[in-house]
Amino acid sequence: MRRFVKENSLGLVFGGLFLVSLAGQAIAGHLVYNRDQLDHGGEAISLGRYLTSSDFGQAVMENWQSEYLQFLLFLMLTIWLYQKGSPESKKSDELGPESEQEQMIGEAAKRSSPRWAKAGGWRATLYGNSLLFLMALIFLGSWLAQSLTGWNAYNQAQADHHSETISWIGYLGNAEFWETTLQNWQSEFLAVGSFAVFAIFLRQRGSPESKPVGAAHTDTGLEG
Amino acid sequence: MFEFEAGREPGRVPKEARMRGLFAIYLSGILMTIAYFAAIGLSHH
Repeated sequence: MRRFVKENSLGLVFGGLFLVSLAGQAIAGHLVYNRDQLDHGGEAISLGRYLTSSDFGQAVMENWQSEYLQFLLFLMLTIWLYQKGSPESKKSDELGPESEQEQMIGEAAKRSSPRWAKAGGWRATLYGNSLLFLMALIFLGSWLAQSLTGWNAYNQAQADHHSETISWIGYLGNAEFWETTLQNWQSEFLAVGSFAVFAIFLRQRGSPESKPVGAAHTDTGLEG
Repeated sequence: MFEFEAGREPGRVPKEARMRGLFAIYLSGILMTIAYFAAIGLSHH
């Protein structure tokens, strides 16, 4: 057990932080929702009912989709794009999907390589892009869930105000959907772009996300 | 699909199996939550 915790501390700590934050979001979101309901002459709802509401779903899903879009683009763009001096970039002569030798595929696989990497062919192609596929699936799934919960919440608010409800397609063209989507995207893009550039000149000793403290500012793709 | 060097000694639980558990918890938790909220979004129409 102790060994398991030690060997998986990064995944476990982030998982724990996620659960605590989600619980906090649910409690705070419930209070805000009920205050809003009472201000508008509505009725307060239980925490259990809030957890099954579209308002809560939309708040969670709009952040999830943007995080996984960030990983999806980061994985895809760092194959081809270059940032001189950044630990997040490959060296300029390594850009592209690299050779079978470099990627340990087929005959170049090691004894310990995953089975589908050893197999080569379509299985290695599929497995060689599996992380990207999963990020794309989670991004698209959570964006879809954001659109459905957002549409539902929007129509409930419209009905409360005796205004016309709209179709799901109509909601996809609605400014509210794009505001909630883009407010999350812009922050992710800024964070990734600025981190890649800041890490050219600044260091964090001991972190694999940084270059070694003594590495030159022009060194690219070196990890600490 | 995943076979790593670690955990090959006889009589020991392969490290890979334990890491697979964490992988499965994250993956199933994420996909089930997305499906849950998608169903909620659809349910009130």
